[in-house]
Amino acid sequence: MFGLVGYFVFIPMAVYVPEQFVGTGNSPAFLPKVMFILLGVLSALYLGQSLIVYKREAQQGHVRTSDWLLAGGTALICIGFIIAIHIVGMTVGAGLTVAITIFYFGERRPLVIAGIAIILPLLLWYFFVKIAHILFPSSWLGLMDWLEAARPAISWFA
Amino acid sequence: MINFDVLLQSIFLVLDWKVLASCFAGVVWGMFVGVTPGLTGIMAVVIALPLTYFMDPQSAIALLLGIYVTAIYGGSVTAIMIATPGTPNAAATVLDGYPLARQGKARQALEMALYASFVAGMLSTVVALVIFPVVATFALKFGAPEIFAVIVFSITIIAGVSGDSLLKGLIAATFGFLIAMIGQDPIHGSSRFTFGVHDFQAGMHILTLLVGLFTIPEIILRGVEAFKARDTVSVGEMGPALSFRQFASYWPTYLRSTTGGSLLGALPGLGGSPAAFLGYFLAQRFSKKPEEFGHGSLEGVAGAEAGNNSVCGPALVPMMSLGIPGDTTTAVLMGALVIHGLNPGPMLFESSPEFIYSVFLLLFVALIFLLIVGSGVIHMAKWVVRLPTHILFPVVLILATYGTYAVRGTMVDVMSMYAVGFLGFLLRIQKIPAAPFAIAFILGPLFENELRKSMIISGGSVDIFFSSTIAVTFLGLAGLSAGVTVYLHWRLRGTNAAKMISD
Repeated sequence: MFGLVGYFVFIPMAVYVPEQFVGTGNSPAFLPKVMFILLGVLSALYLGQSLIVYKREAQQGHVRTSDWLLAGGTALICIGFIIAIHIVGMTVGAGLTVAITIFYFGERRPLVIAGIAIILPLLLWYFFVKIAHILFPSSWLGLMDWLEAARPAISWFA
Repeated sequence: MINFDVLLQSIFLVLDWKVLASCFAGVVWGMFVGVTPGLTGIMAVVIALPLTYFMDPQSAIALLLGIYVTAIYGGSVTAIMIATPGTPNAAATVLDGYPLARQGKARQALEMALYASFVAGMLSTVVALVIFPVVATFALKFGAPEIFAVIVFSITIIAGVSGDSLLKGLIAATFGFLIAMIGQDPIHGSSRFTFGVHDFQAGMHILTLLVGLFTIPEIILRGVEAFKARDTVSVGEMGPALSFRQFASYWPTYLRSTTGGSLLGALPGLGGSPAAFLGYFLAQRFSKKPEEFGHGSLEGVAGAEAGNNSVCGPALVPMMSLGIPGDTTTAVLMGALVIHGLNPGPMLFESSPEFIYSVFLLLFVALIFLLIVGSGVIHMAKWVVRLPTHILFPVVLILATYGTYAVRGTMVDVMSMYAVGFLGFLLRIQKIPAAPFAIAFILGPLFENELRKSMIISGGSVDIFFSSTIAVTFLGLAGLSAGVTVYLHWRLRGTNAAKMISD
């Protein structure tokens, strides 16, 4: 299905072919077309194979529902991390994500969770921003941006 | 032949304190990852890749080689102590290592694994250093059609890393090829699959793909599982040390298993796991006490560990001389060199021979560091195997995200990394292997570039690929390699051997 969509939708929409190369083997779209056809053929073969062995696989029942839920939860945390980066920034987002993930994986000692959730993002912030001079993405509520902006005022008071 | 003047220059390159410190750091990190069940050697290399951005190429490759060499041995610590191979390469070590630990001889097993790894690593690197210049000099005669034929040959390694289903491996490889096409077309510079996103013009970064493909699915699938497994850890007494007499009595085993492992290492696509099983098989086949194998034989541990560690040096030969990665980890190492503007292959040997020699010398250095760090780990083995993986996985998740962002400073890379991660997760639950995906992504642009350059030279005729003896030879080898692999897949289909190798 993806192969068909790729061939008939993605290539015309997202591959620019200069006029003199249309339909030639040297066209930028030539290899993508070959790959989408290959993907379609291989997927059809896989589908056929899966239908034949479906009964046997189903009898084995190798993936339990609880495992699916656990894996799905971790995937949701990953998505939440990306959203958190946009809202609270990289450092605070990382702290929250680490805390939630560690808790989700079974750790229940608040000091351990809080310790890692605070120390790790701060260490990373120091390494990336202060040593490697990499600017973190700005966010709606970027706490570290505010602290950085407020530094002259804080040092004036101090 | 080895150029001793260049070799001398490369010794000075290696003896820089920054390079040595990077190599040592790599060994420590590789050991840490190796002894942690669930974290594989390739993950160790991938997680460390972003750090290499801030290093010179020499220090960067020193760090990655340190990890590459050590993660293989590190996996044997948990294999021996808790019957859980830290890396797939240590699967054969469990067979005799764990029974030895249960008999109260854990220390002997760990020391045997370390010394066998060291000896095999040293011997195989000497072999690699000697044969490398011969292969590289030959490779200097290559033009676009010959390079294309070599790439076609190297693409057949996809079949070798496809596990127990060639069809699934090919599907994964097709996805890899397609994702490699995101960005500008290599000949005309036309946009392909960028969908108007400016950050996609330069294509998907290799690091973004590798981190997404290998780290994220592992965290999603193994994090909770690793926490569950932690409760089952049980370690007996460490027992007496290995005597020199015991160590020296297995010299023929080291040599046999090293020879077998080196041969497999130099062939594309096979990697450490089959080499370990071959080493173990050779040790058992020629042993005076074959009945002890599987019940706690030091010779079995020696054979397996000599087998898997003898892969490192020879696997670098096809990568450095022809640009063919020997296995998935060397494919990532190749990607790391490309990131630093060094394209492995005959031209690199021509332009920077001292760098190439220094890579092999760094393997020796990494092995010496392995001996030092490994000896320390043996004394701490009882505690090391109790690493809290339920804390480690979340930390790895954060490091992966920061590392990916740091490469180009754009959130598009982070989102792409997670998108590839979820795709990798879906592929994984369908039991579609990740290695062909990564290899196709790395080789895809080279494949297209050389194919189209050849077609431009020949005016669109495919005869160019059959007009050179070298090209015809490599295309023939590619056909042979694909045929043999398909035959082996068919013969091994559904057996435990196929499952163990694919795992």
